[in-house]
Amino acid sequence: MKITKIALALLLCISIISCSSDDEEDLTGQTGSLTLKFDNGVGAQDFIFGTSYNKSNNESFKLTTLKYIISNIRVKDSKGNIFTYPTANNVFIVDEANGNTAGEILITLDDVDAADYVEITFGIGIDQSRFLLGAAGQGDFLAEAQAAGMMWSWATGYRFMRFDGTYTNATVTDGALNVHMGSVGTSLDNYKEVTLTFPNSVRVRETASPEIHIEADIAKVFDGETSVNFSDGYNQVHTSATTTPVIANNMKGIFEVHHVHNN
Amino acid sequence: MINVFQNFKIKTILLSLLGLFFSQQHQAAVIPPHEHSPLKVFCDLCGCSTSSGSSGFGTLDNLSFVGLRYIYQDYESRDGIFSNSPTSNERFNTYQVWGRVPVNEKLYFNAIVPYQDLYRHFEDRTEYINGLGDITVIGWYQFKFFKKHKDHEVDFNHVEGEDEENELSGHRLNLGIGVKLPTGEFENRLTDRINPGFQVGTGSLDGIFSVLHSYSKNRLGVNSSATYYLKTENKNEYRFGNQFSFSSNVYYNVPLEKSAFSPFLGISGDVYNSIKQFNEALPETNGNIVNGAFGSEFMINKFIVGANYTFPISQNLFGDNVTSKNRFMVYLNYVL
Repeated sequence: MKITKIALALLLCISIISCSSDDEEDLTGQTGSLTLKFDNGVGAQDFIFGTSYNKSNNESFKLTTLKYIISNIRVKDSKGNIFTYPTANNVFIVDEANGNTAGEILITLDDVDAADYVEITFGIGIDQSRFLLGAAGQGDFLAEAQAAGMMWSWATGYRFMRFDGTYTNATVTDGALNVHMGSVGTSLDNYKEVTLTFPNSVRVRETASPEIHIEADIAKVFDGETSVNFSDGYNQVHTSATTTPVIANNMKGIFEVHHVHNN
Repeated sequence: MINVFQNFKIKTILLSLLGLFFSQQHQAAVIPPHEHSPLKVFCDLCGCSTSSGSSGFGTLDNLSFVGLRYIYQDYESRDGIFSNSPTSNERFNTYQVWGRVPVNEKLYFNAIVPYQDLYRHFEDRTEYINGLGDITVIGWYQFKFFKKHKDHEVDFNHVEGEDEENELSGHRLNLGIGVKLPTGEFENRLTDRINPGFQVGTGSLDGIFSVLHSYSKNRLGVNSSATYYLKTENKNEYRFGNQFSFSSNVYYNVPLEKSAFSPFLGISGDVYNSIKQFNEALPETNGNIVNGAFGSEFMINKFIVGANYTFPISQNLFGDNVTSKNRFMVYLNYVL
């Protein structure tokens, strides 16, 4: 009898504290902002300018410039709907030099449809359709890219990335390292897209501005899908139809969503 | 027949209880539009471990008392995602009014009312929050055990007519059911920081289920406890992971002329399940820790002064992003 009473008391306690609500939420017409936080690292280490990092084949590199172009950001929600950020403004330069004290570069997208997003897709560099809009069709981004040194001539087009610094190997000490991959006009297309799934849903609301923390492993630019050697000409990558596609493919594999914040 | 029916009923109740215990809450609810929850909370280290079984609910002798307790805790957290990311240092000061109040011979209550005073030191700045924490109230039912004489044993001390059933065995078993109330504020302004485990309260109403065993013979005593915390979602749709805590202390009572001195050695531990936000488990938010402890109580007249130092023996907290350094506590109790 006593046990029954105790058990009943327990039951009562649990039922009181385990209430939950099952309401469906109406998100129609609601928009919010979404922040992408790019965090460059080398393996498990945070990237720091001027630090020497080892790569394969006993080569090492030190960088003084690290930037790349991200464009065509779109997110997919749990129902399969895709939200694409307006094309005209959907192009950004992620520049390590513009990072905050923790070395994170933030891109904030406003007026994103409220939804529970599960996946993000973005491009590395500039796709052909944007390039074909011509100089006048580039909006403010043309001037921004020129100022950041992310353009060759207009005819050649954009540099999708810019890693400048020095490299050292068995035969060279502090040789010049310049990796400037891009498409070459319309003859060579190095634009690549990456799709990353989120470890937790990203809940954009009028009052909730989630953050997606994206880790970029710079080591994989040289030791990714293909391992490349500075001694084989990858110390100077510019418009070559041989080296740029290899770097473009490696760039595709450097990104990972580390975690998301819903606040 | 009636007995069978009763057994069946008890079994059903116990089974459904177990079911409830381990069942998850279903369906995400609406977020109230004006509320936020933190970016990343590793655990409710401050809200729970200071009032948990691993810190102890009472004194060594299981006496009734009212008193004051101070707990200092030191943690180190990684402030970033890389192995060379900067670290922050969390220093938690907790001041508690605590007591154990008897209702009758078998029933008693524990209550802990904490005030939290928390600091987090970054390389370049310090954050600080304070306020009333989460109040814990636990009701206990005590079972006492009596010595049994085995049939084949001849008890030479046995006096004819004496009621031998009244001889206590030294074992006590206490079952406790309690709640942790959301009296501490779960704050929004810390939301732009990594690891705001740094909160004066969890904002949730939690259930506490505890078993406490004590044994004392001559001057030696052993107290052991096992406690389960069933945590619920707070209004920010944030739910700290359920927690299991255990502790065991061995003490030795040294009587002095008008006082007594009881040094003790102990081991304790906590296991945390993953935190859930919007009903999804957050990665790297589970963990476990085993602590060693040593300390002493000193009893003079009706006062008990206690102090102990707790240090981690092994830990794996939250993807190793949080490291517990040590814990120190002092208390002054007045025996009722």
